[in-house]
Amino acid sequence: MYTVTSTPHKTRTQAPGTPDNGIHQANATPVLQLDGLHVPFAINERHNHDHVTQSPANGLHDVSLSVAHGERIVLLGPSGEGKTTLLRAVAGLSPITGGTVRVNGRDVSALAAEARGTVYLHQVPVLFPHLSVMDNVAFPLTVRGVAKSHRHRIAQQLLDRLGLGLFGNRLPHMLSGGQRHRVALARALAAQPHMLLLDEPLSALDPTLRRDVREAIRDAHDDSAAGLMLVTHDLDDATSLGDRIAVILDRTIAQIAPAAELFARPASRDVMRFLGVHQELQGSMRDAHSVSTPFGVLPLPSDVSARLSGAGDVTVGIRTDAIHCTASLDGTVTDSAMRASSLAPMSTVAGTAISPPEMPVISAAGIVEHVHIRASGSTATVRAGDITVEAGFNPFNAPQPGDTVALRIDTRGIVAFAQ
Amino acid sequence: MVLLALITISTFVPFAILVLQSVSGAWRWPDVLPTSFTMTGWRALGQSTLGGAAVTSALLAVSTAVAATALGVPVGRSLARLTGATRHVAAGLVFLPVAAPPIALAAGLQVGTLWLGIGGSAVGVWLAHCVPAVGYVSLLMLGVFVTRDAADEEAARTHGASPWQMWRHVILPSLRTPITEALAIGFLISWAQVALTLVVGGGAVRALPIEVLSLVRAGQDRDAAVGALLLVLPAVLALAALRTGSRRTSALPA
Repeated sequence: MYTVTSTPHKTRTQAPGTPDNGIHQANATPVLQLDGLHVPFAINERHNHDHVTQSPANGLHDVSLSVAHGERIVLLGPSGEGKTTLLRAVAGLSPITGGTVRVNGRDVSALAAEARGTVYLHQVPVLFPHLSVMDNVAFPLTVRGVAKSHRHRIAQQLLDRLGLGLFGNRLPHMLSGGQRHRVALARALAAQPHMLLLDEPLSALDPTLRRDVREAIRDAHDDSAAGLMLVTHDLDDATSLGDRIAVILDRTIAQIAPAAELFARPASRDVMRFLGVHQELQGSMRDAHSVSTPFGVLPLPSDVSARLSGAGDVTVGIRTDAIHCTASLDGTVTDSAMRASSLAPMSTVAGTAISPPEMPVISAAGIVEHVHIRASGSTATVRAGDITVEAGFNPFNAPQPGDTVALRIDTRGIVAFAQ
Repeated sequence: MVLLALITISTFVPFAILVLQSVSGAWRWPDVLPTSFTMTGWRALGQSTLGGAAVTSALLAVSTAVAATALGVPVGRSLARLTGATRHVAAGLVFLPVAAPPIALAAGLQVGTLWLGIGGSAVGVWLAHCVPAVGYVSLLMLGVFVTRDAADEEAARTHGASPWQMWRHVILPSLRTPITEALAIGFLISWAQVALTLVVGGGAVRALPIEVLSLVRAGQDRDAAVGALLLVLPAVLALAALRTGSRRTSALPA
């Protein structure tokens, strides 16, 4: 009996902890397990044929990761790093030259795409134009020989679930872009895959449609036991959809971690630079627990300093959202103080009335150069001596260009890497 | 405008003459039109050699069209999947029977069919017709597959379709118009074939073009005109069908 199933045990809230860089997570039965995967890049311009010439020297290398049942992994990285190639290799649409792909514990590396238990969705939804929406959704059941009445009943359930219950008789060209995405997702679910592989489903969509499709992906996957792997360039999409984010740099996975951890503790300077949410400074280790920077001496979180024993010069990163500017800091910032102290930290303030006692804060002064008002997360460009930083501010008390402001830095947002 | 008029005249005048000739009772030079009309030629069609020849030609053309399409579609797809010089060389080989003068091809195929023991038979002629027809259809399908996005094939496979199911449920339905065109081209190539039928058939296979040729040689102008119009009819029908098909499909977005 073929039925639409849902998982009684969601693992999303059990997103595994990430010791080391999280690439090898301990999970009893991962729905997807990649071990030492090597995937050559296709050097032919025709992107989607397995017959094109492959270039082993320039492919993905040593890719290892695992995906738990019901987990959503987002592949994030610059263009050309092989995110789509990896997705296609998992789907069996691109050849691999080394390593293994296991789906539900079964080695599928040598199996054809149709035998892997994975479904790959193209960036632009590929619906069969000669089939109705109903028959498109029922397609995976048709090829399995499920009786027409039964497969249409299942397809109708899926269409209802994705808000397309009244669209079954339409042809694909009669649908809007968002509806086409939803139909493609419904069809993917009808295949009951172990892994859903989504190739940049949100790129090139306007903001409204983007929200619609993002919601559709959640709707489609929330009750599914399948793992989901999704490619995106967009940090917001990655954080909103991914239980964990895999950053691909230099054609391999540089780090896998939940979004909060990824942004708090990027595994390398390259990851930090790619994420682009840190202000970068040059510094040198002052002692085992602090680093000298143009902002003065910054205390390092213990897990960061532990990795830097013996280091000399370091690259320091401060999360942008850990830097705030205020018009004054309890009256301690004055023009004369600014002139006198320039870059020197004005004071190290811990447990002020503004910050809770447990929030370690250091402060410095600067002059606002530009103010960038955004829908969320408005920032100001503040020059403090030779250093220019982006700092957040209270939207109800926005600074103006030329204002002297106090920069408050939450030291928990500081990372450092040996040079 | 003058050019258009000339093209129109050169296209329609020969057929108009054929129509008049086929119903002329007497038409002697220098009369511009027949001096009397008769339907004798058309009424005798069932009893004349033309009727049987038309049936033979139809059977040959239909079977050639089916075989050429069945072979040409996968060959065209295979050619499209090749890259660079390999594709050009392979496409050249496939097209060679089409590019070569029919009589040269016929001479070569005659030896081949005699060697196979099917020279002078309908099967031999059918095989000979298939050679250029497969070439034409393969090149037609090469153009189709080169420009066709294979994403739907991938979508079918990744949703569980076997290669056969992918062909049946996705590729063939999406190629309805090109396949119709391929069938029409395969039919017309066989239907109009003179050299191959004459040489490989050795005069034993009386297809319609051979009969018309014989009637022209014998000076039986009215019967020759009837046969010639029979030869033209499928071409007109094929053009009409293709036009209808393309109009219907062009209404659908890709």
